[in-house]
Amino acid sequence: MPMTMRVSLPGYDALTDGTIDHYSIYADSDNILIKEQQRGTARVAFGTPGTISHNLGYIPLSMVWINNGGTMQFLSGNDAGAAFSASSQEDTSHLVLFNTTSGTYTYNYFIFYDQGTQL
Amino acid sequence: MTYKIAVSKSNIDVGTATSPNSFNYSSDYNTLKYYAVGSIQLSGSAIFPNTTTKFGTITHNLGYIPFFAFSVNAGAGSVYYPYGYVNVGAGVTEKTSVAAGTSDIRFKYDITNTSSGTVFGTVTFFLKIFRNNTGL
Amino acid sequence: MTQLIRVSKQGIDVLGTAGTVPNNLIFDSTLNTFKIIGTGSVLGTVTSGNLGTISVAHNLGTTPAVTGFIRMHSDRAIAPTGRQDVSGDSGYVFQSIAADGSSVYFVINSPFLGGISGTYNCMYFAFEPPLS
Repeated sequence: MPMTMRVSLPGYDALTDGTIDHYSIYADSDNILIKEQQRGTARVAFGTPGTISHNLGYIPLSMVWINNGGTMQFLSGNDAGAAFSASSQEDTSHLVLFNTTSGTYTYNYFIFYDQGTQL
Repeated sequence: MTYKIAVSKSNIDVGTATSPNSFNYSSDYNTLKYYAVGSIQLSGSAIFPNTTTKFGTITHNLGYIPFFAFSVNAGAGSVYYPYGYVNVGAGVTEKTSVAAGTSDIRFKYDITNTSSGTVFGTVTFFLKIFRNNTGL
Repeated sequence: MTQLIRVSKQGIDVLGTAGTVPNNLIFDSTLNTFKIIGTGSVLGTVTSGNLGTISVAHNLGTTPAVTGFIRMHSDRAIAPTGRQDVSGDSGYVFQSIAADGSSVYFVINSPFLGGISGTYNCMYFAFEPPLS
């Protein structure tokens, strides 16, 4: 007998609801939850990259935010050359944070076990 | 009576914790759930001073616009750029963007020759598609 | 004895060695599951040919980590690009998304539409803050 695990979100009936987005866990098929490997903060000065080791051996899913005076901005793209300029790169061992704006900023990051380039 | 499942982090009392940061899992909170991945390579060339734009799509057929995540490899070995890639280099500018519709995800690659002759470029997008509906 | 819940991906024996590898699992109660603590949306306008900000209160009582998407008309929704000059389908640019203790901010570069302000449907996901 196939086994599964379903956990619905508040207000939804786990026995009848057919919308996967109404569940936090819906294991009938591979609806995979993102699992944290590490989180943290890094102070990155202009021109000096900040390197975070993950050593997973593959490219992981990650998310980074920059603290810009109390506002948390999602880091997207390789923002080289813009007035407020920051970017990130990954390889199979590291997440590297770049600050190409003057000064020093705090970067807040999550690195996940889940792969960024494969299922 | 409301029922839920909650798993607290180490040394935290699951019966009294309230912050999401206190739990490894709580059914009070939705999760990002991914179910599919894809990749697509786009290549282009541009003669000075022109821009070439290339598009590609990956189908998802969810019937709604989903949450997605992606990274870009610009052909320079082992480095990947989460959530986009822009290169302002010597003689060339490259830009990428990704957009989602109700049935597909569309990838865009611009390459601009800012110097002379002809420039060539290739980028590979790696995509994760989630079940989560943006509601857009 | 340590108690835990693990749900493996299809084809993986959760009780075997493969079932201890995080990347083989849908869910593992020993690992933090990335949580969505809120979502929201707002419809706003940005003056034609301008960089503008559309904001919405998030009412979360903290500064969340956010990302999101914007959509104009029935075009495809785009993710933030980090720049003013990288457009999606229809020439508009979603430069950035950010949040503070009260609101979420969408910074958009609206193309010149002949003097007509661009109307954007913006939505965000707010996640648990990545603070140690």
